[in-house]
Amino acid sequence: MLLSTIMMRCVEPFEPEAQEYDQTLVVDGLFTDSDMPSRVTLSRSFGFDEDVPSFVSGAMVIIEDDLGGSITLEEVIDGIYETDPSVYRGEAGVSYRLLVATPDGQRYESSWGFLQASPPIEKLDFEFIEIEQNDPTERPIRGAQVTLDTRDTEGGATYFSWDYEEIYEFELPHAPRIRVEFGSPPGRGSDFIFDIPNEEYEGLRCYKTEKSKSLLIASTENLSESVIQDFKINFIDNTTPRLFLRYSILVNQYAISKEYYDNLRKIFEVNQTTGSLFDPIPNEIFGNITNVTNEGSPVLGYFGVAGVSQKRIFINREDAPRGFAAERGPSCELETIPLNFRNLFDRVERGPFVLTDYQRDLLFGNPIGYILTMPICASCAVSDATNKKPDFW
Amino acid sequence: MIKQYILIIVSLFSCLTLASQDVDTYVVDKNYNGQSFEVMTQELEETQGLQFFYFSGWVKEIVVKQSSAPASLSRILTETLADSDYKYVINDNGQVILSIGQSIKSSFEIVDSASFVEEVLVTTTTAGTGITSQLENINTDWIIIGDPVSPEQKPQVTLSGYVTNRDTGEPLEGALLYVEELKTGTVTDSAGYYELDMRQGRYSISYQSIGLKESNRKIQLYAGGQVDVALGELVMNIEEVVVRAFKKDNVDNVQMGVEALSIETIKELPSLMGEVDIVRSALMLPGVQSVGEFSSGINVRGGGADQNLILINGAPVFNASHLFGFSSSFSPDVVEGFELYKSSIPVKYGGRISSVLEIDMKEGDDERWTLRGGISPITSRITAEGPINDRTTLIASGRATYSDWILGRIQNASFRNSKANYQDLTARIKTKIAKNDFLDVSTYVSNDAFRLNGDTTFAYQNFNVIANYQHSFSDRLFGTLSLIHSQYSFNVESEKRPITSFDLSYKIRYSEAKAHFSYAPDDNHQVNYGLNVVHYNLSPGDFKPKLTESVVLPVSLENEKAIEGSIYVSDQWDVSDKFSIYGGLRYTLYNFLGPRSVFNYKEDAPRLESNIIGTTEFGSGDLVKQYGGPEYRASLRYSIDDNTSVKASFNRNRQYLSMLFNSATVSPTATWKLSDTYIKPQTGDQFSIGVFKNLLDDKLEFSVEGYYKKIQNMVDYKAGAELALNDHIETDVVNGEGRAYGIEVLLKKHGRKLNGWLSYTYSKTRFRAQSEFPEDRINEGDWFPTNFDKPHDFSFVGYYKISRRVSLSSNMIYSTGRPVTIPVAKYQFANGTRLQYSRRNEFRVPDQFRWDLSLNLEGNHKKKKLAHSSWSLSVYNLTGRKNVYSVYFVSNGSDAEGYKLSIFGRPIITLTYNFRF
Repeated sequence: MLLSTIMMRCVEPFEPEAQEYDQTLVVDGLFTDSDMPSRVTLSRSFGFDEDVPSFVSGAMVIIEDDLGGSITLEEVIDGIYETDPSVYRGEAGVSYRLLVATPDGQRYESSWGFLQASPPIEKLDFEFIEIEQNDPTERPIRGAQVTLDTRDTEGGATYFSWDYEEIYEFELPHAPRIRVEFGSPPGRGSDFIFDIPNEEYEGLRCYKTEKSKSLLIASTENLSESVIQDFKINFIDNTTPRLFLRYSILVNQYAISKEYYDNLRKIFEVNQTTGSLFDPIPNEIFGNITNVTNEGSPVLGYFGVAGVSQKRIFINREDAPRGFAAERGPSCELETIPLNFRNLFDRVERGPFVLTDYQRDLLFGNPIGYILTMPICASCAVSDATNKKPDFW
Repeated sequence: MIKQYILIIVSLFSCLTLASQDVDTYVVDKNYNGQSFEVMTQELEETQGLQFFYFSGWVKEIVVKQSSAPASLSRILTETLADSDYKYVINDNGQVILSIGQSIKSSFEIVDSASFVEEVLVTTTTAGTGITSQLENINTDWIIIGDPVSPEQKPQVTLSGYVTNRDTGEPLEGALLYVEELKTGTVTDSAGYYELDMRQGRYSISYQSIGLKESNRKIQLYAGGQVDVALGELVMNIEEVVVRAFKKDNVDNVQMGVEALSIETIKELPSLMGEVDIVRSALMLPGVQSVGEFSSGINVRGGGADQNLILINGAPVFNASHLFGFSSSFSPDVVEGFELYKSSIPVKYGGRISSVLEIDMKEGDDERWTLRGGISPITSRITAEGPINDRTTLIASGRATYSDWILGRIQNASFRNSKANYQDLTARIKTKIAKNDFLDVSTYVSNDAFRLNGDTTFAYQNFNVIANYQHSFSDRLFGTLSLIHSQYSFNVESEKRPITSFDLSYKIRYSEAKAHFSYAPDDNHQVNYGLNVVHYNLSPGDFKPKLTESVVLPVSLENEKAIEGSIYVSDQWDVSDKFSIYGGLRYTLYNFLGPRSVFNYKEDAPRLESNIIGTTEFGSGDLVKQYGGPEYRASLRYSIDDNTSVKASFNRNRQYLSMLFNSATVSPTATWKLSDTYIKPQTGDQFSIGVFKNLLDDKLEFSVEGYYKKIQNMVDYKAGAELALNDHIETDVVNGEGRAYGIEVLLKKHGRKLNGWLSYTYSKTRFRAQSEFPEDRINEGDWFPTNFDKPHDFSFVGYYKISRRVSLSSNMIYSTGRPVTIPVAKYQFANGTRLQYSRRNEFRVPDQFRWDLSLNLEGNHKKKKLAHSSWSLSVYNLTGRKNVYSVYFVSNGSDAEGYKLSIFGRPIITLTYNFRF
């Protein structure tokens, strides 16, 4: 295997033929003891040629506990239902389950899940490392490895999962100072240029938030102590602007049940196959939700119940070793055109450009042209980011 | 008279096909038309100084045909001999030589008898050819049957006799006699008896039986008579042996579904990176498949990879592959060949339900010491054999890789930090204790170690030893007493993180005592009976912290112990020439023994960990669970004519030891598991029928076999099954049933230059796991194709001898792609995009095709050379087709990508060098 892999292994993309599939209901729910709303998402599975699922709106979603309490979740966006933690939130030592009634008349319920309190994250740390590439002629990949240690001294928490939210700051090089309003038709004297007031000015920094997408799980069931060391949470390489100015990661640690852990493990396994014939044969993975109206019809997803703990760290520019260079941000080209509204209209309304400022003469500062740039260099929103500095920053 | 020697020459050259040459130099003036041949030759010898060489018995009834006079001698001979089997040759010295069936080389001059013998010997070594002729085999003594002075009056006489094993005295069934002059032969029956009708004359007859030294007899037949031959151990160097398949075995044997390949054939097959692979060569046979081109384990007639009993010299091997399937773990230098029983499994074998792959080990040379070896890009190997004293021979062979060295050279970080190496060692010692007693001890050791990218080391070992004591009580009763020990273990170590560093080990120990008897009460019966006891002791998993910092909890699964006892008896009865039957019964009793803690599960509930309601404890030696039952083996043959037969067979087998793996092919951490309270023994029933026909004077063998197989208690795995260190494995597996059926067509060609076969198999293999609980079902309890279901399977193997030193071989394989489970859709879960898979094995990878070629060049055949050498150039996957080994999908959370992986996506060229001292 090894030798063959060395010499001859050849991997090519494989496009499966469009398959018929049922739009299976997916229940993605996680109920915690956090003071943040817990969320249940109802969607359907979708084809390989599609990018987003269709969401199931208008369902009745209830979480109930084994003490007789319950809460009906509120639909905040299409298919996304949330609890109100000020009214009802998870408590360690209580079991919960999910009840769903979809608009098509199907009723679903999950199995009961016991809420296990999560120990605090003992340590969340990072280290700048280099990873040697398989091809030694290529330069090693440099970046920061975020690792986590945790330890449960109370006993009880054996299975863990994690997710995280990362936020990073990056430069916005050319936030517009002026904007244009074209008359109709343009270039006939009814076009105006306005200065952007300071309170509307985009600023020089963007903050981008991203959520983890991979499944991070670990268990201490084979260990004499519930100890996890150096668990790799995330590797931040230098090909994005994450490490250029400042980076922060907030890790949520969930203490989960064995069943939930096994389910996540199975999902992880079938999503990370390597093509080796020694991989376990992948399977359909179904969770703890059953259709009670129509028994035996498949339901994907899981309703998890977990105790949660959080920790946040920052990685500042000064933390990077000398010589470490991260990607700066969008690379921007500027274009200057003469003061001509017809030209400007062609570039801005018909073309991809954004007006950022006047070009001015050096002596008196009078406008002699318009400076245009790409939208990504002028607005945080284009990068799905915001110019609002988070409170904790 | 010089005539005495003609036939020797004929026999020497019979393998050279040279057209007879017309020499019109000799003109006969007189018209001999209507006169006897002998009169003419006598007169011509006197008048023209010609010399005629023939055996007088031949020409008694031949009358000269001569249309005119004068006429050329060649014309007269051509006309006269046109209706007979005789060919003639006239050489430049005026010598006329008659031969039967075949022309002989005309430039050969017949010299006087004294120097002749010498010349025979010399000629043999250089010209002696595809038909084996080693110096020591030529027995120049003539056996004269009948009185040369007054030969029997009828030209047709009968030669008969017994062929026995010289060492054991055992009669040899199926030994082949081949009369070179007549290009025909026969096969001995179960009592070792043969009968052959032939004309009076001189013949060179070779007697052969697999594993034994061919013996030649030169016989002058003046009357019918008997020649008994005892065949001794094979001492020829293996490269020089040409094993001729038993010409009519295919048709005459009562067994069916049996395939045999000799090491010579295996070595001719194009190899992958120079590795002659015993087990992989079996894949070229009909009904034998594997999951992927690079996977360990074979699937015989729809059976699982764990359902084949692999024996080397009679001792079982539990993992027959190196580097997880890269090559099979038997050194070609000690192997004689193998027999694969796909059905008609002899009653003396048990314990696996699909097949028996019996690998025969060579015995050491009893005359001289030889050392030989070979070098390929992956391994080097060395073998020594020879006599220790006049009663004892030894053969020992070792093989090792230098792949670590190769890996170190690769410009790739993860490979440079990897290690992979293997070794194997095989040895056999056989000694003659007394006239009828032999002791035969062999051992086999293999070792593999593998470390990927520097963190986890994986190692596994096979070890077995077998001692056979053979005794012949009489000519008709033989017994063998065997003691066998075989073990397999693996070990996984990780030091990736000190705190979780661990050491996991697994071990199976198998000990067997066996007594086997073979008895021939008369010529028509062959009875086999015996009994055996097997003790199993498995350590299914021992998990320990490795470094002192490690906090891993030691886990040690309880050992599994069992005793399996069997008795068996069978009789092969040749009812008549046309009809034979074989009937056998094997009864096994299996006891799974304590100490053992057995979980109890809630009744009427799926077998889940959460449904465990208690434990039953069994003390040491207590009977935990008993299984057993009869196994029926029967086959029959009916011959429609000499060249055609129909056969039918039924087989039942029971298997108490299964392998656990939930990957497509046998994975490195696959473990053998004994049947226990919940894992029931597998039972396989197979019916098969077939038609067997030989064509073109046995040069072509044709057969069609159909089978239907039913397997009970086959094991499959639930989604995400955990097999390692699981003390409640029954919660992760499902019990189901299998069925397989198919038809196999095989056309085999035997020839002097061209050998090979074409095989086509159509088969289906299905599995079903039904249960009232959804957890215990796969695909809702419907039948679905197994991982190795490949309906169409075509293979071609051809071997062409261009000259005595150069040969070309080729094979070609086409098969349907194997079934796979792939995603049909995506879904959003836990912030990411995940894959929704189809039902189990709903799709297939594309069809597979591969063409391999190999060119073998032997060094010269001078006898007095320090070392004999040979080169072999092979091209694997000549067309470079990217056969899809697997398709897989990776979801990185934001999107899912599908990939197809081919392992050998371009031709692989290998040069191998072999030597022999």
